[in-house]
Amino acid sequence: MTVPSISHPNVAETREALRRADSGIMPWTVAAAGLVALLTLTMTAGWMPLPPVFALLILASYVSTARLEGQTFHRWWVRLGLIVIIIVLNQAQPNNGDFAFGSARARNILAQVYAAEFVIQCWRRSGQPVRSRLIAIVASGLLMLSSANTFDERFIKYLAPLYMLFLGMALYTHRPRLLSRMAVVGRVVFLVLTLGVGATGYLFVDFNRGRITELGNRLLGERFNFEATGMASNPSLGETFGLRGGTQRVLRITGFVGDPHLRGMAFDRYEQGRWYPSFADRRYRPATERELNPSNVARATITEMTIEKMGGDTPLLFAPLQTATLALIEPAEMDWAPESGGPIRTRARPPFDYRVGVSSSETYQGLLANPLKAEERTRYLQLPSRFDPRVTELAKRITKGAGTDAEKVEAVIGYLIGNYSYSLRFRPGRGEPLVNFLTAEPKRPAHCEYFAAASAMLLRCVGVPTRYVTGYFAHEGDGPNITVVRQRDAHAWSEAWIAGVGWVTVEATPGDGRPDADQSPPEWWRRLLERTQDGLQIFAEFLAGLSAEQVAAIVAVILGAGGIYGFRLYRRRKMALALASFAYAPPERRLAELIVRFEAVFARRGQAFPPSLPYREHLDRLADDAGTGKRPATASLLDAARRFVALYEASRFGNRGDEPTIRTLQELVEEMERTKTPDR
Amino acid sequence: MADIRTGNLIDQIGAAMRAARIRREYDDRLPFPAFDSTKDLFQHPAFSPPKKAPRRLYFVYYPSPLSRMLWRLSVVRFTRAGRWFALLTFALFFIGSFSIEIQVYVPFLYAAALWGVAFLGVLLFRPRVTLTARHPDRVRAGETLVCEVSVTQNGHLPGLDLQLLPARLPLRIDAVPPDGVPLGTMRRGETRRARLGLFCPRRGAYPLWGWRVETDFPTGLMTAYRSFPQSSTLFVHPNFTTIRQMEVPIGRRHQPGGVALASKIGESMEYLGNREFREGDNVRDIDWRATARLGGTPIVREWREEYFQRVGVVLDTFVPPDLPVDRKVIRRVLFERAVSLAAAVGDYMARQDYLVDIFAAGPNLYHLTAGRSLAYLEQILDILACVEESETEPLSVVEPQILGNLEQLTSVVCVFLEWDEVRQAFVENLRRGGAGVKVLLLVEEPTTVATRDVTVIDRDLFRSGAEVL
Repeated sequence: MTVPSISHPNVAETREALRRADSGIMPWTVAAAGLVALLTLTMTAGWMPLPPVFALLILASYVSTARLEGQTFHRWWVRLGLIVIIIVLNQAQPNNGDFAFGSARARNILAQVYAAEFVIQCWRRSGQPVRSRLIAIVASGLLMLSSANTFDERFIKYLAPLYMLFLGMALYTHRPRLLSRMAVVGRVVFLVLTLGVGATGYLFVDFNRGRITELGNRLLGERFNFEATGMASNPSLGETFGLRGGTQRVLRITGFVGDPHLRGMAFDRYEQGRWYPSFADRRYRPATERELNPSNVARATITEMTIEKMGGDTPLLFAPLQTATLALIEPAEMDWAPESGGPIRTRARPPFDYRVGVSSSETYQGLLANPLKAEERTRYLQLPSRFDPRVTELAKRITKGAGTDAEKVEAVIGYLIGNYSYSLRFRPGRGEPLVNFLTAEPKRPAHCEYFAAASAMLLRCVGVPTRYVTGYFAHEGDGPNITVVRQRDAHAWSEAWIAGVGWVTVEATPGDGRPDADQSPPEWWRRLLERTQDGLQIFAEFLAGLSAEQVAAIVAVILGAGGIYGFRLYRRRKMALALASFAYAPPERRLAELIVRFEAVFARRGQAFPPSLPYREHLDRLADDAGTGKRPATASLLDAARRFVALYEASRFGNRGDEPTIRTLQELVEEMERTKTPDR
Repeated sequence: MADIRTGNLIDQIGAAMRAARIRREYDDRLPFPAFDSTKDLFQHPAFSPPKKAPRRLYFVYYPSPLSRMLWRLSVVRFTRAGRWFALLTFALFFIGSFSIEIQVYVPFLYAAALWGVAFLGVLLFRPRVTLTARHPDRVRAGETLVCEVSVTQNGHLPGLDLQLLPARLPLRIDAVPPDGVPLGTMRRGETRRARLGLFCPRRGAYPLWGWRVETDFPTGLMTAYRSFPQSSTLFVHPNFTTIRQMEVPIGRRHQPGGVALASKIGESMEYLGNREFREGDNVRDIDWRATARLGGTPIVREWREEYFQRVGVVLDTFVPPDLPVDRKVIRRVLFERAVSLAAAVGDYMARQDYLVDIFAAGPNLYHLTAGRSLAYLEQILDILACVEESETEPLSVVEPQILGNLEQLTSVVCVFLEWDEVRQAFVENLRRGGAGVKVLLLVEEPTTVATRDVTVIDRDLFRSGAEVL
């Protein structure tokens, strides 16, 4: 079988491409994609011995000409050998890290198996080089997928476009082509476009992270979107921090004062890693204005701030523990459950504003800090059934020497902050997650839900009533006197009842794990988008504030202006069409000068051409008049005029405007001008 | 009893192993072109309906517009790299869709962007070209038909990374190279000529649909294409080894029957010489110049009528439907060899100035008289390209036809697949009718047949090229 070739000069390049494809050398773009995927694995999983080896092997395949030849089962032996090596070497690696699916070790092993397959394809001499190349591409893609199976967002956003750049080039090598500069330039342009579209998509998702999560939760049939908005109906101690969200703005506070911990809900009962009661299981009752805005508050010590609820479907109103008064600016129905730590909910839909009066005293016991009753005390001291006694022993050991409740609280906070570090990911393993967290040796990092739950339980073990609280941590300034709370500021902490003081906030999360410490400031473009959104909102509010008459007037003005503009446009268009269809172009400059001189000849004789008559007709009338003797018009003049008109019309309308014709016309005009004007 | 069952089992296992070996050796099943964009998947028998197909399953059997569209989408619209990358994209989507906290969604977004740009490329870069193609109508099995294709770019934008491919090829025909011929970048008005091969391993008459010019610019994932239907029929003639020498037994008749039939240019008389006039000679044959030269007795030109040897070739097409699988496979192989042999005999006869009558039944009765100026070898080979195996006894159809023409036939060459009573009786009937008969018997393993004028051609003899028969 002979391979026909096309009959133009580039055929040599095609043959060269075919020869290179058969030589077993992987195209550099494929290798580069694999190397980027390996780099991603190293960046997200930490140092491992095999990825650098694989990278060196990939590079070495360009230096060495040796290849894996022969039967398929030879390659399978190599595969099996590499898998065994990968498994053995990974046994020594720590099994932790911020991963989404599966254990860290399993993920690393799988990723390295894909990398090994990539290396095998680089070193293989295949009868089907394109197939080998495509297997390598898919292996690199799966390696990238495994590497991106992480919560760590620091590197992927940079490495993913780089990987896709090389992959985009690699995917174009699946068949031989003729080299063309134009095609190469075009491909580069479209690759840049691809990266631009991808980056835009990333920014869009990142910017609308909260909304997307909310939409997903709606599709999954959540009753309220607590998870989306930062508040879980039943917070549970899981592997990841369930409250973490995107950069969507939730609250905008004007004149922020007081504790940055803005409470949403409080929970008192803990069982099997989950806090109760759920949002729906509380006894709500309508909150009257008198209850939320009591008259016995010392107004002088109260500072008011305005909170704008900007987004999210949660019906909760967020306020600090020291809240003395609370009122919606536009009245709407509100419920609350003061016995359950005071969650206040409303049926108003965001955006809406509410005003919160906060006491300047840190220990102020306001709306959300009802005094502890005797029956509530039992509830707030309740430990889970079959609670591990080691935790109680630990609590006692921690608070040894602490006499008062306040000292016990300080001791517990000091213990947790001093001995633990923060991580978004915590693998509780089998058994009770909180017990595992507190008893694990060495001590393992965890997220704020664990610290909040641990502080609550440890304090209960030593007789301090506590409750678990979820809400937001307000810290981000956004202009003078403005504080913005974003979805990512969701947080969990606990509150303890200290005799003689009341409820106080217990923040036991290490400093580097609080929202004000582990977040980078929003990017400039995000701020710009937010400003645009604010502008649109102000405009929408302006429109919403107009009366019906004002709206009707504006609509009438707009419609009127639009109608006038449309009518003018229509007329202009109609005239343009009429001109385009029927009008002749103006005469050429020299012809225009000649016809002016021609008309002037007869005007001087008192025989001016009327605008209603064609030249010829007027000349015929002049001839008739000459015959009857009414007006003197010489035959030679008329004859010259007729010849002029005939030539002029031919030049004007018949495209005969050549140089000899113009000269003849000039001569005729000059001849007519020389004719003596009769005396009047 | 147990022994008998065991024996049956062993026999069955042995038969199955033998059948498997034969299938491996003679595997000529129709290829299933799962992802070959040059082939027409729906020509595969898997898509033809059984005799009593339920109506609701017609969608499965018949290539409905929807199934054709889906197939085109997956095979023609997506490139090979595109299909692989689609799997990878799906994996990224699957993992990434669990949560946007998992960073898998980031590479997924870039992959989706690549798909978006690929789709844009499909909309923008559809080839705007015209195409003309030339190729012979006939080719011999096992050869590559070379097609000359001329492509001209018409669009305002240049055609980038264009590729020329045959479209909807029959399943037995392969494009060479399989991915088509790259045309590269073509500017407006530019014309390029390309040569593209069609490898035809099996004989047959194949419909060719036309051509396709496609581009996978700019991503290599999806193609924008334009099809050029140019339907034609390609005859792939059976491959055969030329026979150098063959003994054809001559029957008792030596009739001049072919003259009137042989030529359209009038009588074909051969000039022998001059002689003196005899009683009864045609006056028109008098050679007046010779008569004048010699004076006296009129001299006439003497002519001899040209005689033709007219040979019938009977092709056995019988493949019984109830044969065991292994024997059926072998029988089909023998049938293909018989077709090749018949082609070789036809070629030999045509070269020896014989008139050849081809008789074959499968499924229709084919009878063609060729040789001299009546018909050409091409027509014989066209018939042999189309003839198929017959599940019923073909001699029952062929015999009346050949006996009706037997008076004209000098000899008959029978290409048989077996030597049973039916065929022996058939040969005997021919001999009784006065024709010399030569039997060519195709067998797989070497066999001896104790009958005169039967030439046995086994596998080894056939493969070594039976040049002397």
